[in-house]
Amino acid sequence: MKSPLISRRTLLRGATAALGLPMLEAMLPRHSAFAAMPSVNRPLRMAWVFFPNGTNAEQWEPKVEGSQWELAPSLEPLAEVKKDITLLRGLAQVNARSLGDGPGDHARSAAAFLTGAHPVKTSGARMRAGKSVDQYAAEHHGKDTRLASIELGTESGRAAGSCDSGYACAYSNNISWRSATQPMPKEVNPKLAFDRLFGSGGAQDQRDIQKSILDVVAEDAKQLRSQLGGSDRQKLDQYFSSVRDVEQRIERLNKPIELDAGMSKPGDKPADIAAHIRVMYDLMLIAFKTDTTRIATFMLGNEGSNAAYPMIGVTEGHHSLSHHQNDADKMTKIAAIDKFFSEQFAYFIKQLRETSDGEGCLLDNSLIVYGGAIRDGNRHDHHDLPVLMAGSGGGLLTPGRQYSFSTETPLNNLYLTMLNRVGVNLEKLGDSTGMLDFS
Amino acid sequence: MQAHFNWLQRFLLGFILLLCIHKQSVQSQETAPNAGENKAITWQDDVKPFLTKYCADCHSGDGAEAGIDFDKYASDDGLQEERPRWDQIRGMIKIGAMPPADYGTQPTPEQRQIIAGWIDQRINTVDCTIVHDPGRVTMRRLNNVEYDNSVRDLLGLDGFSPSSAMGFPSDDVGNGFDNQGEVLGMSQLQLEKYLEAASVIADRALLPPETFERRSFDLPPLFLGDEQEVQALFLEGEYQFKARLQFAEVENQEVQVELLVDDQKIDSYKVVNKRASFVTEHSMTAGWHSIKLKFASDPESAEKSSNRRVEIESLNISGPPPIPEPYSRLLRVRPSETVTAEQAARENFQSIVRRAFRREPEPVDVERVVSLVRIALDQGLSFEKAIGVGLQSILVSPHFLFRVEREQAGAEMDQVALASRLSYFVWASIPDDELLDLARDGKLSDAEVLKSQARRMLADKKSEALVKRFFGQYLGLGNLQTVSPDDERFPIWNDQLKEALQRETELFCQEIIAKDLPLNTLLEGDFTFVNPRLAEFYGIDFEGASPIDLYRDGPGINRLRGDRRNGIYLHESRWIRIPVPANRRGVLTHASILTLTSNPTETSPVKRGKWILEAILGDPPPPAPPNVPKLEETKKDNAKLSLREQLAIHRANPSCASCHDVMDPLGLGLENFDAIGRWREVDGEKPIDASGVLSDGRKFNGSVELVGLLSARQPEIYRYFSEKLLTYALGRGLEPYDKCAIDSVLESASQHDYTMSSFVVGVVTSEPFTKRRPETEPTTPSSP
Repeated sequence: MKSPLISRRTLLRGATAALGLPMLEAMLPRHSAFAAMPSVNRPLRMAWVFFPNGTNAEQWEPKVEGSQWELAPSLEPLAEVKKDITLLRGLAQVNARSLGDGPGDHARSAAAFLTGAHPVKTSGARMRAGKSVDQYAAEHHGKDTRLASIELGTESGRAAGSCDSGYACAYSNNISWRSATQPMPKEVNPKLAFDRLFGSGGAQDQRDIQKSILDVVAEDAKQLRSQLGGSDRQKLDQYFSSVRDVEQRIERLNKPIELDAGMSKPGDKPADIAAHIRVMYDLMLIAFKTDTTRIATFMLGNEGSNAAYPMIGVTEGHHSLSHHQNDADKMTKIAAIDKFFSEQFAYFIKQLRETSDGEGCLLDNSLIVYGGAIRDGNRHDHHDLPVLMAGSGGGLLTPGRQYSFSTETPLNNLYLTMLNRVGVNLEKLGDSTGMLDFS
Repeated sequence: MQAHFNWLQRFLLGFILLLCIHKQSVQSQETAPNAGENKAITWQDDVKPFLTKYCADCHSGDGAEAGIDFDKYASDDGLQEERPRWDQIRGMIKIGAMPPADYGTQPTPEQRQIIAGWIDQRINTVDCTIVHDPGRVTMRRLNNVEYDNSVRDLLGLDGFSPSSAMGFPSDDVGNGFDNQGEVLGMSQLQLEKYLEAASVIADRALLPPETFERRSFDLPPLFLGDEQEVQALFLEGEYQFKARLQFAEVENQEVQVELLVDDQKIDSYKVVNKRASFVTEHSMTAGWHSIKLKFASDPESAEKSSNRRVEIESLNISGPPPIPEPYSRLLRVRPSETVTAEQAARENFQSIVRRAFRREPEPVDVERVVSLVRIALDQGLSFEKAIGVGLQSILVSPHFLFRVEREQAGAEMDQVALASRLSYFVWASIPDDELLDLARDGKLSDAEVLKSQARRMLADKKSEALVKRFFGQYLGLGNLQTVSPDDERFPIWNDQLKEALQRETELFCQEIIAKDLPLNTLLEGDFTFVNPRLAEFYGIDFEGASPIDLYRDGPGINRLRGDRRNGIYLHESRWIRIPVPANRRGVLTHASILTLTSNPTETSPVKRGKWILEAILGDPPPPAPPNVPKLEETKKDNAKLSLREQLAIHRANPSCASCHDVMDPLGLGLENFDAIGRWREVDGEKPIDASGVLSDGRKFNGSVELVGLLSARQPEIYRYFSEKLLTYALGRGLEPYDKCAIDSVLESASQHDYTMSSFVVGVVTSEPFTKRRPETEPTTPSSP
């Protein structure tokens, strides 16, 4: 039996065309094509885009005078979408601080960014952070989509050695945590990410067999559980929850996804980092547009990443440069990287704005958080974080403004507010102290 | 570890001496409370007062700096539980980073060492006569390499890496290795990949045999002296080999090509400049055989040249259809008039499950798989396909994906779990039948059996996993993939060179295992391995030939453009063992290590010194204290000075000196090697001075003498190596009580001249390896 989905067939038809970015751009819908769509209540989409190593804060933080504010040079590329973004100032992720644990700000920052938890300092044993905001959202708000959430990135993990001062690499490499002990690994290969999001998952009978296989292995696991001690059970529980998630995913593969004809699959990881970032943004966009998932996280580098950006004249490593010791040349290069990231983000936001969704555009029904949990890479400080948000969240707020919250307001207060918006009403998330007031 | 303390003491003696000479002004401030006395240091009388006096101003009460509040510690009872924190405090005190230089009263260097030494003792000492704790390893998921190897050995699928073909997420690293139980997680993404991989693997393993009846191979051209090889599976019987060959030169000449089976010459062909078929019949035995075509002689020239080559249009092998190994292993029994499909499946899976789950199968294990086969058969799938479905479930089962160690009543481990510990340690793969049989018969509790098994396994080719996975990560070779030497300065650098450098170090370590050499070979080895590329790099001949000629004669057109070598050398993939080139000795002088401890444009004596401390001696320097000027600033202000002189200025700052006095001389001793590890006499215009004084006062001049001095520190090197080896073998970080096991490994290695196998044998017979702490606490509620 053939799959009822059109996707694979459509994909194959388009596969002879050029692969990668240009085609993805080409398949983006035009406003007009969707103008006649019936008005429905469109779901809220949420994404968190993370960049490593902090910023050159002088070039990132806005100039503010009364209600007037100006984008700083590193955010210049966002000028076109200024009225769609909200600058959030004064937020902090205090659990990224040492708090007696010594060095390791990079590992802690990634681990705390979406959890607001203070990660346990360990190079292996008793690894623990917290459940992240995207996973709370996915659990509830993602249960009707093909994938509850998608985790994307541009860098795989390190091949050897330690990542940051006695912290296991999992802390630096992941921002999404399904539970306090279970990080969600990210997909860095565009082709594989595409398959995961939009692939048909094989014919119906193949899927039936997969379900039978999962039934059998779940039995194996259930029986095995009784023979194990506590710490092993915790690992097995990760297996259990993964089995459940995959089962649901197979169920939800029945939901048809309308990909535009002529669209083709992206290739493997592009060598050019700008192309790589953009194709990942494209995938997020299409995933949101087709309601394949409503929740995404994207790491523009592992925390502490030492990637070089030769296309903008930065041949030294990002992390090495971030410890600039106020060297003017290095600070300029950090600002150049910051600006490079904003350019790519602006590209994404513009696409969201140009893609219709119900009666408005996708951006109207989105909340896209962009930032990191280190303010200044040279100082490793975790307050006044570089964080902004795009979209109006289906009327949660009117973007185009900047908000200055009182010093050291937990970043998690923003997340608590976002979760509330999708019907997840938590008392507390990590170190949150309440919701943000956007009035 | 306590281990460090011993050498620390020795090193500190020298260190204190140095400080005494250079920093009299600091020392004159105060005399140590216990200097010259033999009174034991105590928390109440010495340590607590020290902390109160020098630290409590900032580190006490509410708002204690960095969250370290010394008021909390009325006694020293809880210190061991907070080991990482106290280790950090110890480090700060030891190196003089705290209290900060601008803080009024400073302790004397002696006081610092005494207090730091006491903390080290307090948090790291274990009494091995009292403590017997084998520790508990958390159930490990197979990492990507282990998964690939397990599939390979389970099904005989060679040359296929499912983890890279399916794009498995990379494994996270903990404790320096990618096989640590606590760190290896399971997630939806992971399981999706396992499910997809299982279906691909099953399809591959169950390719119907007919596909193999006539096999055809495309092979690259042959140059004089070269051979092309294919490996193929045969049944017993008569086979026909048919090669279509052509001498690609215009001249009407005749050259000789030989057909070899398992390196035995079977036939010889006279090849001319017109394509012709050559047919040879030969009778084969069952199993894998090597078939080679060799360009044996050329009347015209004794030299090979890129023009005079033999094109192989095709090589065909035909004969009885071989049943591929995976296929025959999976389908030993087929349905027949007397055997139902279900019975056949049950028979077949009995042995598969045993190998896949690495233990004797229970009836329910097999029945679950058979129930799936039944479902598949009911859906109308063929017998082969249905077996494939059963196989998929095995490959996704937690019994396969996790290294299950069933809870036992006592500390003694389940023997099948021990068999897996052995095989995943040495082979990074499933146990073979011999190991499983021994476990089943209860023989693995015999230490002698364990030892002989370990030796047998080391001798097996599969122990290459120990080279790539253990040595590779112990030495940090993986980081070679992330270095990018400056192209302008090092045009010779390219991916082939990078691979060659890594291969050299791997082959070197492989030799230590294969020949069971003493571990000090690692530092002192007087041999190494080169291919033509590396021979040119090291400035030596390759089997009597000039590497430059080999490059010119390589396939394709290789013009020499300066240093660039982007083509392929003749015999590029041939590696030979050679006496180590001049001025080199052991792994510290391997270009791989020298490159991964350099910056893109220049060497970094600091990084090299730090690497030696960290990776070889196991005593990493603490991170630079905050607010000290970076070396870069010193460099900027003193741009005209040599790196050595710049470093000297940097060391003049007391807060830098404590660590850099130790690190810099080590790195400066290797300054004759540039940032990609080539020998040099000058840096720019300045002659290299590679002499120095170690922190213990011993002098050296140049890399070989430096290596000599370092390798004299065998106790530290061996101890750290044992710690890393045990960490890798167990898949968990070491705890203070593991010191006792390390002592026993070292003790037994010392009786066997510290050979490589004596370390491995020591580890596999150690308590943490053969035992497991039973779970005593009530099961904690698990997080979802």
